[in-house]
Amino acid sequence: MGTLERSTLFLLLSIQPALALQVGTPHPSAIVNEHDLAGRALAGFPHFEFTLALQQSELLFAAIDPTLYTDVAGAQARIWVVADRSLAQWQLNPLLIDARGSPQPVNFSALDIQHNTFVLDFGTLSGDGGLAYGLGYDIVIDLDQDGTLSPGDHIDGLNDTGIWVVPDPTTAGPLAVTEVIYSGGTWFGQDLYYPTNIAGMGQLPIVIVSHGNGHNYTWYDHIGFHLASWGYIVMSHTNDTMPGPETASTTTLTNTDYLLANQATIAGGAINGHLDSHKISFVGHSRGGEGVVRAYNRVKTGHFVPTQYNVADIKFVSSIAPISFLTSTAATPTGVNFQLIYGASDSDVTGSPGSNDSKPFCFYERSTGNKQVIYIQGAGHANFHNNGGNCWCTGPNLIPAVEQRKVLLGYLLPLVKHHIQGHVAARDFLTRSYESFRPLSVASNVIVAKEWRNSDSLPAFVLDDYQTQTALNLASSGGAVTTNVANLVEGRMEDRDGSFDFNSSVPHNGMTNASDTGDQPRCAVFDWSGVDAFYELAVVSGQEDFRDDVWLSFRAAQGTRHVETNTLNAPLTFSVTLRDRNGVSSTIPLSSFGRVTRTYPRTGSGVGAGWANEWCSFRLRLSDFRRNGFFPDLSQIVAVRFEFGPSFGSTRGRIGIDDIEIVKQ
Amino acid sequence: MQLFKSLAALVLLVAGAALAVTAFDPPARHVSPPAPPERTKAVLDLVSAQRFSLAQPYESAWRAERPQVRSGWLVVIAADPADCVPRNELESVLQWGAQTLERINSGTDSGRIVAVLADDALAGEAQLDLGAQPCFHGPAGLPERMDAAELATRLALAREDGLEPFAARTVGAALARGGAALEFRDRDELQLFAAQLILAHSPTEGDLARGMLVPRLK
Repeated sequence: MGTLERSTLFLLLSIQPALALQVGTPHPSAIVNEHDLAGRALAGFPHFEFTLALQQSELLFAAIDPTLYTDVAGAQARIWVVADRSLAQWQLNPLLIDARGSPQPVNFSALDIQHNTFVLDFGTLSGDGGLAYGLGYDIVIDLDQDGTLSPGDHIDGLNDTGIWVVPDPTTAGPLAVTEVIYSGGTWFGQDLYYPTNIAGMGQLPIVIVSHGNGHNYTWYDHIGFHLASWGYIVMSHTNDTMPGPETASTTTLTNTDYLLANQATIAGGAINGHLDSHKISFVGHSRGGEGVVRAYNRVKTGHFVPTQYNVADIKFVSSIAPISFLTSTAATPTGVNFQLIYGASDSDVTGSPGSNDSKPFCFYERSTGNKQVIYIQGAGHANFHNNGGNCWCTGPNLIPAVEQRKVLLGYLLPLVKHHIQGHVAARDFLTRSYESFRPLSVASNVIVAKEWRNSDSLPAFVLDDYQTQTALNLASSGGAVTTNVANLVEGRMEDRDGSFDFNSSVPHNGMTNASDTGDQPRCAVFDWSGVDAFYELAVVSGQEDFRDDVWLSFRAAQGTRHVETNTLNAPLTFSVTLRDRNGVSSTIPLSSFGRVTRTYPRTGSGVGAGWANEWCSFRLRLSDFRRNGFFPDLSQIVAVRFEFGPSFGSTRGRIGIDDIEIVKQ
Repeated sequence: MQLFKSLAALVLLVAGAALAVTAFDPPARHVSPPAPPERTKAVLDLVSAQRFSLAQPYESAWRAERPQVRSGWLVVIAADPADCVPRNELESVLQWGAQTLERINSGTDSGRIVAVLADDALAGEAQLDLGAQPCFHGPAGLPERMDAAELATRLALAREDGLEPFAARTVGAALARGGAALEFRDRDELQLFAAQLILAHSPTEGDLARGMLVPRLK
């Protein structure tokens, strides 16, 4: 559901006049309880993750905490899975019709949420919503078992959708695709993909694909066919990469103009009038990956004025294994939605700290819009296109090209769906940890480190982003920091000695997030070894009320080739505690949702194994801290505490931590 | 003007590919694309050279000054295939004298590079004497950032490294293979001709050439 728990005044109309209410004269008993119910069971506290989406064939669970919703404790009820209705539709028709054929009788326990967790479906619910990408369902606990949504019932999905069942995003869409290759002259060769039946489809968003050096514009069929099958127009163009990224950015921009200007002629006019020039996205690979960032920047700053579109029409930029030749001023995504996809085995754009031009992560750091990283262990440079040949990959556990492209497509589709069309469920793919929610078709041995951060323009209380207040005992929010971790340092996220070897004079070893002096991302690093430790941030006065917020968000990465990382030699976990003014606290082990990946054990760039730091973002739902009788008062949270060591997760470790914030969405 | 004045020109073009320096086996697959030379490295041979002119000039992205190109040489260079593996980090800047060579292909596997050597518009469109200056792989860089001063510095480096121009006999043979001067309407017409050279001299880059030869929208 994604909304806060609330009791909602529910006005019944029409079919049950006995319960009908006059608008503006609510009866106290005419209350349904709207809150999250759907999600997945967890092995550890908080024992359940309320989610917005699941993929077809995944189990659907529902759960309710009897210590929070005491009205269900000991009660008998029926749970219904109903095709999603809007509030108005519920008001018109509160009759419950179960999409599974019949409701599910349950007996609620008074003990805890675990005893009140039920499998609602074993993967049979349809997610075939056609181009809508999924089907929505609402979950109703019919406490009075009257077969209607009535006062006293609980519902997930009254004002929005309770749960989306969606296809695996690597699944081809429902549309047949036509491909046309043509040229408008030198550097205007274009490979176009569009839905075959476009004539009856109105205007469609456009995705522009800009290849890298040594690549070819006809090598991106996988992107073209996939996205076009879901209702988008994809154009991959000849990209002038050999002179450099500035020139490449020009071909991105001019080819976009050309496509829009010549739609009456291209493909015999089949796409004429069907290009939505206000929904354009750029996807670039390698030199093209920096080129598309530069292209966006040139339009934004007015250094290039397109004839057919403007900066507001560009909805996202996706950089695949980009090079980083240009300055932080020239090549910054600024506020556009941004995605970085990159392979840890890349032997072309290596990511080595010794290469100034090989800092793909810098684009994520520069971005101030909604931003994401997908960093794939075992993925090389060339396998992001589909021409075969040398993968330009090195390291252990190299993944097959088909798996690498599944990851690519599995995150490109949700990116387009969410940023272009506001698809709510697609956002789950972008924001949830990879271990929690990933495209099902990707092999289970593929390891991905995933980051997400909301746009700077969205409301947030940033506890600490380490950009200001450099004293170790003071967060950027002004709150006090207390800790007993070892070797705490705050500093620039740069491995400045050109090697992945660890030495104490380069505490941010393995961090390749800065490309030039204009890049100043900062974080904290520290370690612990065999004993419990903590790192606590006080919440400053005036910010303690978390009731209107939804998530605690932060990112963490293991430190490359540090002795603690090497000794642990595994994914890393720890726990997070919230504490209120009265001292009531609740602790969530990170392992319930995911782990901080072990750095990819690639050799080179020094002695030993372990490549760049792999930042992993985690979003803990604040309401999850209030579970099974643990009830910190979210209106007066005074501390956020990270807890490490044998009692809380990994016995030892060396991590970086950053971007600790409280957000609303 | 017609792209080919006669069938003989096309035959000569293909024959030139066969008669030139012994082809190298494709290089072994590299874990990483080979790094550019730290200084300079000579190319191996000049396969063919042909004068061209354009009725409509184009702006070259291969010089920081973005000069207009109206004429020059269309050349086919033979290089060590190991030096022709495209990379996305910095590549060697291929240079002839104090001018960048505008590579149209990479020379992957074949070692055969088709390139435009533009007359230097900044020097009054001076036509480069192919036998007067060395042709070489320069240190890593981005051609779009190469200005006259930087190119002069790199040429001096090449001379320090003892790189010599092609012998007169080599140039003569290349000119003979290249054939008569070509007059193109515009850069696109030149590109179409160059695509045929790529197919002839570097067939493993067929995707590139075929992509260049895609029918033009009318």
